[in-house]
Amino acid sequence: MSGNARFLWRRLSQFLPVILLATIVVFGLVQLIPGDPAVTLAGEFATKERIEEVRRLYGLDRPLMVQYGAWLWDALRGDLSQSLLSSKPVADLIIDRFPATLIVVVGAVLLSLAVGIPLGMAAATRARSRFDAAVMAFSSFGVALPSFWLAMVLVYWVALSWQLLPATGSVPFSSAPGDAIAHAILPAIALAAAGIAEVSRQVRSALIEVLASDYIRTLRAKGLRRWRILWQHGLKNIGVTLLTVVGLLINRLLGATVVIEAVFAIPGIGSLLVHAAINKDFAVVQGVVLVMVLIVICLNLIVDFLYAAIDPRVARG
Amino acid sequence: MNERVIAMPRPPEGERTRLASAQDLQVHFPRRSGPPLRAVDGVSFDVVAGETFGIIGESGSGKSTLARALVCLQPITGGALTLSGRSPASLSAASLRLLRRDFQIIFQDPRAALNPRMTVRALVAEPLEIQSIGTRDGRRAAVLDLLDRVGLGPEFADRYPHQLSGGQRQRVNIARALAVRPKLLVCDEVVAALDVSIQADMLNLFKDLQDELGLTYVFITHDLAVVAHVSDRIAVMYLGVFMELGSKAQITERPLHPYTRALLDAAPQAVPSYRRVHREPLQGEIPSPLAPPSGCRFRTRCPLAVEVCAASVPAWREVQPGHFVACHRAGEAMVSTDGTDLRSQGVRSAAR
Amino acid sequence: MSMSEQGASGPGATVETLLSVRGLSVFFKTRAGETQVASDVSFDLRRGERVGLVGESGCGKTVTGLSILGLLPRGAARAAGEVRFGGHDLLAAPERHLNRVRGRAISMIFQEPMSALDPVFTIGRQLSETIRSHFDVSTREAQERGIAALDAVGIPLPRQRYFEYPHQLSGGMRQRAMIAIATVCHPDVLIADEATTALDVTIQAQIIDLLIRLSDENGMAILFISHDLGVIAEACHRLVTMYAGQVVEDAPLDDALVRPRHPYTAGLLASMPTRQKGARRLTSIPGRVPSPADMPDGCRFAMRCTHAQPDCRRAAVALVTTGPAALARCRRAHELTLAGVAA
Ligand SMILES: Nc1ncnc2c1ncn2[C@@H]1O[C@H](COP(=O)(O)OP(=O)(O)OP(=O)(O)O)[C@@H](O)[C@H]1O
Ligand SMILES: Nc1ncnc2c1ncn2[C@@H]1O[C@H](COP(=O)(O)OP(=O)(O)O)[C@@H](O)[C@H]1O
Ligand code: SF4
Ligand code: SF4
Ligand SMILES: [Mg+2]
Ligand SMILES: [Mg+2]
Repeated sequence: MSGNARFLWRRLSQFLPVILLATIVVFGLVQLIPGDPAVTLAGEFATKERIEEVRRLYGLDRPLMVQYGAWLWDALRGDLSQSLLSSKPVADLIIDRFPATLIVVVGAVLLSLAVGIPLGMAAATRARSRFDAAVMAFSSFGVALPSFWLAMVLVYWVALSWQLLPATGSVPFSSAPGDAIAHAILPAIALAAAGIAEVSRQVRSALIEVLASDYIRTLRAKGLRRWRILWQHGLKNIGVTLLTVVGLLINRLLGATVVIEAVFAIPGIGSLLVHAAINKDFAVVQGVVLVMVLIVICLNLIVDFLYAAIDPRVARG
Repeated sequence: MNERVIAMPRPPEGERTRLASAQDLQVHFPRRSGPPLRAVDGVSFDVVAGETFGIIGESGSGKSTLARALVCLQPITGGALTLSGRSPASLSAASLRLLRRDFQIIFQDPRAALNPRMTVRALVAEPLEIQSIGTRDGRRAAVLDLLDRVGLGPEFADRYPHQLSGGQRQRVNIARALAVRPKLLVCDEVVAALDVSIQADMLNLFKDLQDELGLTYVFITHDLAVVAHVSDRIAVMYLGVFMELGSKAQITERPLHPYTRALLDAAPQAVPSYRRVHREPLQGEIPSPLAPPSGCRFRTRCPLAVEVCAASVPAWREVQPGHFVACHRAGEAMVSTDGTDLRSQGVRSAAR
Repeated sequence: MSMSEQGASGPGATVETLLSVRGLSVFFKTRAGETQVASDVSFDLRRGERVGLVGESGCGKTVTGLSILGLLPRGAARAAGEVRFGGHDLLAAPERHLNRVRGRAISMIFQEPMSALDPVFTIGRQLSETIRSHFDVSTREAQERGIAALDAVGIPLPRQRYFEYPHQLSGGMRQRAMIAIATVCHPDVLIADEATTALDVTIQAQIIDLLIRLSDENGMAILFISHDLGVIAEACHRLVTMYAGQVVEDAPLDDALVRPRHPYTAGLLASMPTRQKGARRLTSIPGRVPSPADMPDGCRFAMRCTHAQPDCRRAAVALVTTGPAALARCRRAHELTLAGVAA
């Protein structure tokens, strides 16, 4: 399908400028720090020599454009500079910490979909019934619920009182998969509450519209069973909405994971960011933010690609 | 653009004034890549004061684009348009505005054209206010007079569009168009969405208004029965060009172009003896205007097509006074290759 | 090909009655309570017969068609009466039975072929799922039958079109695909609701001919719903006229056209512009259809009828026999001589 290929290529070429812009913004973060970045970076009681050393280490003595160019070039090669605190390469820190975050976020997304979609569907097929009202009420509540509060409640009851699941920490998936999942369940639930609410809400409203359309009437007129109409035609037709929701959801979960990792003491990328920010380890902040932004941009690109796969009309031309 | 002879259709009666005149008129829409889309690709005709000029054609043939060009809502990309003897392109903004008053258009969807938050009174007064015609009191009276003319009593003045039926909304649209006392009214599919009885009311109304106000119409529709009912002259359009143009009798009783015959044939007939006898409707569908066929644009569907049709564009020629046609085989006995007589218009024997 | 073998009045009285609608009433729930949009609608459909259902918009044609297949909006609408088909009353039948009838024995096609086809599934998929929900056949077998169905409705390159999406087809091709989906299981009855209304005249003529051919070849009965009498006149054997939710006339097509027995049918005919009428003033029907919420007690057409008499408004009017297999809901049906079209 050349139409599809052309569509994807066009999308891809539009994303490059976006990525470039993102790197400029992330780079600009450090420039926005008031005063001399070297002084700030070197810490409160740094000596003059230390400040100069920091200045050289970070190349802050060069013109901005040159600094940006060098930083971008290094980043392209996977070198995100070094941590001010630990002197370890920032890239290594991120790679170390990433799996713990990933397992929680992926778990939360899967949970949101697995519960949210059937809930939204059930509500849509019984639109304006009491069941529908209950789902909607739950969903308003779930969206408004702060995830850290839910996290603390879960830790208190499920982990500490009933001792069903581990309360804090994380285990690498590669060493003990079962344990790793057990550790990820509570944080994933805490994150997923808002996700379930959002997914069920969006699925419901999109599906109500789809179910009222002419082609659903045609499907009924052909003698198709209800579940087929709902799970095949209904689901695929709300696919675009669903993708958008999932895309936004992941973006938001990546943000929320910062708080959740703190509550559950998970050594993930979020806690890395918090720790670095508190200690003014700006190389790490810059690196983590860059990686998160890139993930979000790539995610949007993937979502766009999937749009074209789900809805043949998107790839038109 | 090609060897086509540009013959100008003469008005039926020499003395009557030409209100609008198009000469090799073209409207092309540029595209991001590739050649432009030629929605209207060289049409020539006159509209004479007091007549109803019908334009018929399938969807996508360029009728609406031509309609918008006629009232200066769509810039033309080639040829010449003359309105009341003047060329809109050469006029100053102020004189163009005055000229445009005389040339109004009504569209198909009566709902879309009316602001839902305005009352009928405000809707009809709006064009008067925009053109600052008359005094305030004068306008008030004028609105009620206009509503009366289109058959709406004063009780409708304070209603909103959603409180009106489709036919009533279309009447409000007509009242708005009439407010500025136009000379020519372009009606683009104005009865398409209406039930037959309301459609009959509207067609009668158009006739009455013409008699009372001496209006001139350009009446666009894809419904042959409607166009044959209202028109004095009819143009048949296909893929941006005219295929045939003539008086109503010439077009509906003595059509010369195979496409015109096909349209006449396809129109459903309630009268038992007029129904299609051999069921051989036109095959295929209108090709994309992005890649119109070479030579005669109708050749891909024409039962009479021969080699020359692909090679050269048929000239637009006047075969009888006022009867124009673009076809290499115009008027030839309509016998298809397998010997079936294709002359199927007019009265036919009942086969049932 | 002409339709004369069967005669304009369609299959003779000996041909079996396939579908029998008896006393069908449809109610919609509104804020003001229930409104009745179809009242006591009755008509029969015999094998191979094409019946036209005509009337102004809102007079209940679509809801009548939908209720035959139990497709009225769930919860919002209620149907009473009987729809007898294959020894069952479809109105009383459970969903399971209806799903065996729908698409298999009785099919339905709609006005807008674009919105009536699922945009995100291929034409082929929408064909094969229909086949496979009624027959236990392999995917391959379903595909072959689907392609054959596309071929039968005159779609060029069916093997290629099978794998395309609705938006890749032109309007006329989409309606053909829609017909292929509806007829792939060779149903006994096809309900066509304004199936040619959105199409150009030349395409409309093609689709009408296609439907006539399918019906003649397979003995498929068609309920042809349209507001266009010309279209119905081209396609049908019998004409059922509806007004304000009631059947007001039911007669062999040419009888109804040439010598209508109900003033409303005559009014519709008089309103139609035709080439034969020339530029004469058209006779429209004054006034508007009464709203379902306040139906008059007597003849529902009385306030628009030029032949109305005081008696007409007094009590509801029943259908009277006006000829062999002809009915009209008018008190004066026997005394009036109404103008139709020329014979
Ligand atoms: N603004 C525009 N930009 C690009 N193409 C256009 C534009 N307006 C119309 N066209 C194209 O020009 C051609 C003629 O369109 P037009 O609307 O004039 O057809 P029409 O004869 O009025 O059809 P219908 O009977 O469906 O109203 C079509 O192929 C249409 O897609
Ligand atoms: N979903 C609905 N809710 C309420 N009223 C409806 C609904 N669908 C149709 N109706 C009403 O039922 C009547 C008949 O409608 P319909 O059968 O669609 O008319 P037709 O097909 O003859 O134009 C109309 O008065 C219409 O307003
Ligand atoms: S020029 Fe040829 S193809 Fe065109 S209409 Fe005439 S006979 Fe047909
Ligand atoms: S019963 Fe009376 S009002 Fe009704 S249609 Fe007949 S004549 Fe007219
Ligand atoms: Mg148009
Ligand atoms: Mg309808």
